[in-house]
Amino acid sequence: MPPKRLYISALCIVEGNLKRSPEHYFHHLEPTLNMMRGGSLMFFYESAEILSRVTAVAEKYEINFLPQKLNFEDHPDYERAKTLAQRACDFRMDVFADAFPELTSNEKGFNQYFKFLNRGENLQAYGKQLVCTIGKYSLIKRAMAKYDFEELYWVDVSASRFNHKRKNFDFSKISIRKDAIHHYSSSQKIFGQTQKVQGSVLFGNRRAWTSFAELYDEIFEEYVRSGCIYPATDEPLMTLCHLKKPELFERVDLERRTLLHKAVGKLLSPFRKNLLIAMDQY
Amino acid sequence: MKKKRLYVSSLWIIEGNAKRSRQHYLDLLPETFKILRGEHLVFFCESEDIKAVALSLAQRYKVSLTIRHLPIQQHPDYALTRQMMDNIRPENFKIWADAFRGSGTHEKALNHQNWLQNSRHDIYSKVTTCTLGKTSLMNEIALENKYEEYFWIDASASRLGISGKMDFRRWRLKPGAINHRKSVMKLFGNRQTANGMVLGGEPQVWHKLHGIYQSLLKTYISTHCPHPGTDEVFMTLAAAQHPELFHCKNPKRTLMHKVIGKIIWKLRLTSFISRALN
Repeated sequence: MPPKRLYISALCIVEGNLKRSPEHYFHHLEPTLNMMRGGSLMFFYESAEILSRVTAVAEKYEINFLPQKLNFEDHPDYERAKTLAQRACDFRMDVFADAFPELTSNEKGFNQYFKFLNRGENLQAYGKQLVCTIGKYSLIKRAMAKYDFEELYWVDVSASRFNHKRKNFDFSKISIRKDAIHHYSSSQKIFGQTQKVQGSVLFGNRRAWTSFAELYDEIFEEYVRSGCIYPATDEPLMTLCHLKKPELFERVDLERRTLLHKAVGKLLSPFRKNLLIAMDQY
Repeated sequence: MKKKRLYVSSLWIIEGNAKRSRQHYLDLLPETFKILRGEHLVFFCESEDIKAVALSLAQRYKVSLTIRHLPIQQHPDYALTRQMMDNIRPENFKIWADAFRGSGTHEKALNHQNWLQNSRHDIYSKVTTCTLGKTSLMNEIALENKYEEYFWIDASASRLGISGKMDFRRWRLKPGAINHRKSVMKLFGNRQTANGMVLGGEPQVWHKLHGIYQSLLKTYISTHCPHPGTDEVFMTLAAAQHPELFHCKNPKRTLMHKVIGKIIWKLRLTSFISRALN
């Protein structure tokens, strides 16, 4: 029986990436590929140097390696990514960033505008970085057109940075439960609301990906047309998808509310307000 | 001898205000005057019919009223507000306002979206001047008069509950600070510092706030900030620089809260209790 699962990943080193050095990606590459040991990996790359480094690691972990060259300029989402990058230059929230410096880490738009886009100074590199994240779904579509694997796992090369930091971090051990995009939770926020989806690892069957790609494409197009200046990546767009069709998503790191939680909650409910004040959460 | 307290308020009915109707204000104004029974009030307005309403209410509720005629376009902050509005466009965050609608975010930028979208640029500028411009009016009044305390009160402030500790008429002001109620609205998930409806302080505090506020407004304009700016936004930004300048009158986290919070944290029960309380 042919293998069911295909991992898909990509690595493009963008000169001028202000947040991540090339070494950041190479440092996490090996443990990420280790989790795919013995599996099949379709890998999008731009330079021969990246191909040779990744090939060596893939061989080490006996991965059925399926490389695919892709230049930024040929990425199907490059033009739309450039439009959003240009528009994000108007997200001039300097007064808020000065008053509340923590926003540059917690809030997605601030993080993108101040750390990646550097207040519009790093526009060209940002456009390229953006297409790498915002255009994942197009690469999945290519993978589905080229191969007939039933289960498709998008995995960022740096996905191992979450190892032991989130529940069920080893995605290779999680099986697909339903026709939905399986994902981890995000801690970043959009206007103070937690993003619904974290983009480092996303997986589902062909049916889920087909529905997802259609919805994502629609939302992406709407975002571009809307003139919105809030800097978006795949995660804000997936948050919009989630708000529209929550049934299309399945969180894999959910800490469930057990019977014990419910019983204690019931007992504490008369003191709810005071407890929340005590925990500084009110 | 200095008189104790002077209240200041205003009401401009802006034709085309997409958020509040003329009737909204006219319904709340009598109750606001009733709350101010026996007090001294300076009231800024433009139209003759509003002046007539204010005079009649003052008579009914024995408010010592001074009317100040001020066309909104001559408001000291009108020109700056119009400049600020050039960067605040309806399309900026509409997609997020629509997406989060109904989720009760109380997020200022999203809350303003509907209003912004359904208003002409000049109308939105005028409405914003009404809220944003209160510190300039307070500064002016505090310079001209000799009261110990100056209180801003929105014409529609009667929609606030004013029982117990929230009855501002009985507030003993914390010196050196603008005394205020907490706001439910948020800026990127963080609560704004103050609700702008009722604000009290000594004259020197108002002068200080006005200086900081004007400087922030100019920075806001020069940096082309696209976030809707109101009095509460600027007070939140001012409080980030000068937290000592603000004092919230709402009940606070008591020592008991702090002790219990510490115990919960030490026992590493924060996450469990949060989940239990859902």
